[in-house]
Amino acid sequence: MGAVQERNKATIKRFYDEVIGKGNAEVVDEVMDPNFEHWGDALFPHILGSAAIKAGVMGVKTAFPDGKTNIVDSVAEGDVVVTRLEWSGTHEGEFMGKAPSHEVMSWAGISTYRFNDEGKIIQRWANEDVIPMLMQLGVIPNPAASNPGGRDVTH
Amino acid sequence: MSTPEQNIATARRFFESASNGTFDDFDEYMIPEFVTHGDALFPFFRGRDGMKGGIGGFKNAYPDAKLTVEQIFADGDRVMAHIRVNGTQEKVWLGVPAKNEAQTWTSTTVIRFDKEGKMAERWVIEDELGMLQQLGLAPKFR
Repeated sequence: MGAVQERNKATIKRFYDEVIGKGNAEVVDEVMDPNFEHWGDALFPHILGSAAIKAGVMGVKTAFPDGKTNIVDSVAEGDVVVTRLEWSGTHEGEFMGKAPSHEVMSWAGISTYRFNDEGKIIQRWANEDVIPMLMQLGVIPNPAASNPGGRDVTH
Repeated sequence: MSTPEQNIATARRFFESASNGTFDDFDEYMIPEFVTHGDALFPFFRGRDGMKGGIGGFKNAYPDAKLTVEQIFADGDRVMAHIRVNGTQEKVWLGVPAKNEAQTWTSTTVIRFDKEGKMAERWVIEDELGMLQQLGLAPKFR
């Protein structure tokens, strides 16, 4: 792995530590291209622009003030960094229409980041295991409970 | 020691075998002790045979399911792939009777290869919220 890949991995760590962990939204401008584009899953299928990322991060930060991301593993090739990560935070503000529960919530994810020639993040593809958190919040039912004939899909 | 390019080729074979339902091909490039670390709905498949059973169950419900590689990268002994799953639900799945509808969602996989270039371990997170929404088991938020 070369110097560019090491730099890109360090940029990802800075994004998670400063922006997601500490809520320093202005760091987004240092690490992300304004035309950043995200392709996700059913919860956040598409996000265009680093300004939208800033707004989204601060929205989550208000609901989960101690929210933080732990990078479990990184794979870097060319202009791409892939991270396996775990997010956790305490539900202290309204989120998806649900009043604070003061419960710790978490999800695991795998995100693929592509960098531009200036070393700024330009694209992301993400999959996040949000179902347990959405069940904990009460915004989706437990499929096992709603389908007594079905298998228990939460175990 | 296999090269990252060889590992990518092996990972592509894995997704092709899964799509084609030719699970015995796994024996050629997957160790018997292979472990999949999944997510909340499908946390673990233990062993190569567990993997065959897991994908076999899914292919039984979605016989035409295809796993298309949208992005694939390698670094050292690991390969990452972003996959799109397309399939028609023709049998009961997660307790939901056959809808006979085309469904689609994404999945991200990280595979670790051993020194002989065989698949040894895998981490996967799938857009199961999207799956549950299409099955009618979860509401749509937008």
